[in-house]
Amino acid sequence: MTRSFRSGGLFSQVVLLILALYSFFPLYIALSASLKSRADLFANPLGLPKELYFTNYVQAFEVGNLKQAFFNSGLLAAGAVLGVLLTAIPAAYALAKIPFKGSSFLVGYYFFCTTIPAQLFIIPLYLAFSRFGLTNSLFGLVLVYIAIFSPFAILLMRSYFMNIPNELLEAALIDGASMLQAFWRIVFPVARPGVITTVVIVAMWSWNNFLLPLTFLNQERVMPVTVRLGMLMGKWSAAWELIMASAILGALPVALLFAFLHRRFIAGLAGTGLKG
Amino acid sequence: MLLPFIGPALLLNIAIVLVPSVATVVLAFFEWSGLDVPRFVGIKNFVTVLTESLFLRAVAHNIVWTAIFLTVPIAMGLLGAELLRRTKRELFQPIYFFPVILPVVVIGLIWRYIYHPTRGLGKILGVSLLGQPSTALFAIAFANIWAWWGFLCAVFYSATQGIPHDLYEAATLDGATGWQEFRYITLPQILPTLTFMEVMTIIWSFQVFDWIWVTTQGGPAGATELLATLLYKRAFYAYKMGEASAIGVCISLFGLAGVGLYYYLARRGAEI
Repeated sequence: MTRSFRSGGLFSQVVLLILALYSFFPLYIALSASLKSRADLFANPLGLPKELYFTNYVQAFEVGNLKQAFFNSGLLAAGAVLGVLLTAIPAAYALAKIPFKGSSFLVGYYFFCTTIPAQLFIIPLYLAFSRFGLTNSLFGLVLVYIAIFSPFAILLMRSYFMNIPNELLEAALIDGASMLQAFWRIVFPVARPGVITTVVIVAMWSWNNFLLPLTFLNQERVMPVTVRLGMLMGKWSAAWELIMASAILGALPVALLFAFLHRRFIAGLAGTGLKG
Repeated sequence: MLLPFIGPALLLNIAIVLVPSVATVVLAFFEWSGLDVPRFVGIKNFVTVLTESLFLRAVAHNIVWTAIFLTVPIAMGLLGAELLRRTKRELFQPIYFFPVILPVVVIGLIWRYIYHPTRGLGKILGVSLLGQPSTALFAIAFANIWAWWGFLCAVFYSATQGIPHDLYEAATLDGATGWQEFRYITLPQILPTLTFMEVMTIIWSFQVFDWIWVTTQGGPAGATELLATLLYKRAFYAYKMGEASAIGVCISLFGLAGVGLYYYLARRGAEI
């Protein structure tokens, strides 16, 4: 056993396979439950569906009023991504390429920000937002998302910008390119993986966030998917096939994003060791 | 020239994160419902909160949570990373990582079904793991570990990619066992990453909110009440902004204290 274990043999692979089955098992439970009729699910909670009951998904979407929630979550994610890119790219660029006093302090501060819990600022922020009419406003929450996700984005993109040789930039500037042109033609292509990583991670964090919309958005017209899903339990306490179908629908956008760009997710989160 | 670059991000950060964070510390010394006029009360909020059995239980639960997450998922992550390194079967990595990116609400709903006493696995086990005080916190932690260890596995695996190959080749020539390779090469080489993740685990463990809120909301009978859920209820159900802020300050201080303790233990060699 020791030999095959050492050479990356059968034993290691069996353990890896067991870990994969463990990762998959709850997903199988949810997926199979979401595709069963109510009677089938009650009689047979863990096995495969007798027949595939796709109408659960249609029903969950309609009865749960998920359409509005999807629209809201989509707007929040799009707004957060756009806002983070617009504010974090210039900041990351300055912190990587423009030497100034306090630059390293600012980098340290942004790192510190990635560890600050929302609980530390949520109470005064909520009170201020309700005074300024920014609660129950998607725009208000987008501002919060930009503020809390941009430190991570700045640190991540800074590490890409730092790889760009200064000579390349200087040559472009001497050739008469403006700062913006130099940025667009030279910096952006090199930093593209960092930008894509930022986009997918900020989109995922915005889509998945629960505490902030729970606090700042409590009217149904502005509620995102996560808060809506949290309310379904009370509504459909016994209709587990519908609850599981809604849960899968709610995870679908990030799951699809992950299916296509899992490398970027893993590089962005595991590469930095930060979860935001 | 500098301001257009760093200004917008910094301004938003100051307005939304920095100023309200400082305001929380100030608010912790006031009595305020959020509507009336704030009244300075000195350290009264801290005295009230720190002598409450609810608060002390929440602290105990947070400590248990921290202890679980400092050990179980870290060990699983190390095991996964070491086996991935040996076998080069990288296709497993996205499978382990997938639960990490799912919304906590979705995972909470799935595990509520799995634990359901008369429907899911609970039917077979014959117990309501989320419904009885003695098991509820562990049941939530178990669900969280499922969606968390893949992150640690990826972090550690990525750290092992920087280890020079000749170290392992030399070990193979010397006839080292698999365990010895892990113990004397992998572990010391990724120690900085491991230490960093342990410190972050302490900080994160005192902030946990979503996992509790989407499963038990602190019940049954307060068995899963953590500092963050206590704060939320105090602020947005009881409208005691001062006491809630005092809890917020405590969450941050516990995070800091945990980090300090960790460094102290690490320096004395009591850990790792």
